[in-house]
Amino acid sequence: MKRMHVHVSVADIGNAVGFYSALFAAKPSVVKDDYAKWMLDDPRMNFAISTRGRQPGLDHLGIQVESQSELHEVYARLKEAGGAVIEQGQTACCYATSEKSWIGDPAGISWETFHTTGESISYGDGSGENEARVTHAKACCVPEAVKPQTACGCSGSVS
Amino acid sequence: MKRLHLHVSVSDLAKAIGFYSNLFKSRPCCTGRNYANWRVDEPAVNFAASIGHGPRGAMHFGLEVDTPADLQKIDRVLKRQSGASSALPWEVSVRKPAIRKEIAS
Repeated sequence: MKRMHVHVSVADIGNAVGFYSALFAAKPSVVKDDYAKWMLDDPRMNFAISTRGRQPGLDHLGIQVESQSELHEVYARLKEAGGAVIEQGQTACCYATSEKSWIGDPAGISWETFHTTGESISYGDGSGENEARVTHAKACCVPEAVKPQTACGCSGSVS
Repeated sequence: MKRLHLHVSVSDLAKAIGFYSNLFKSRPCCTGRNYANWRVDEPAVNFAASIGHGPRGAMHFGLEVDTPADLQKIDRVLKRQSGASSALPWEVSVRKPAIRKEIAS
């Protein structure tokens, strides 16, 4: 089963854990000094918060899958959707090990598609995510006259 | 069952309909001149995209619930959260019938 993923940057983990625990009527399944995650069934989603973002607000959205076959099915959707797909491969981020890809949507929001295979003792240094986003930005945020087929929603010169 | 709701602002609705229809492998249930809405079961989400409502990006998040009683229950819990706050605006709404239609605009 696929599951929506939402990652929100917050300024204060303790304050945000209080708010979202009340909103979801559930305690987070993972709580760290810089990160918390709710794996919910009602509503069905993986909701994460962290203090690692640049500013409070939405960091990214995603679709979490539970098998390699689902991962390849969603990867095929990304290719149909168009734009630059950044295949990050195996990575450790957010206290988990996962295989993932990234794409930018028409609202300028990054979406990750990922299959989590285990836990990680550290948050990860974020270098893989940053590299994927920088590559994504280079691939899609160029003038349309240069790259007319882009479907990326990066902020900047595209539409 | 509650369902996550996301509403994003886009600058090109036709492009957005193409992108999200591929991403969700689902056509929007409702479309208008400035708006499109997907009700997807897997992943479970009520996803809306619109133009003309501010800069591109996430506009608000929400929880869609089944009954007014569910809404009141969440409202009571949130009112006890003195001092806690969200980095994003959230709305809680009662689920409307999923009707495939064109919205007059």
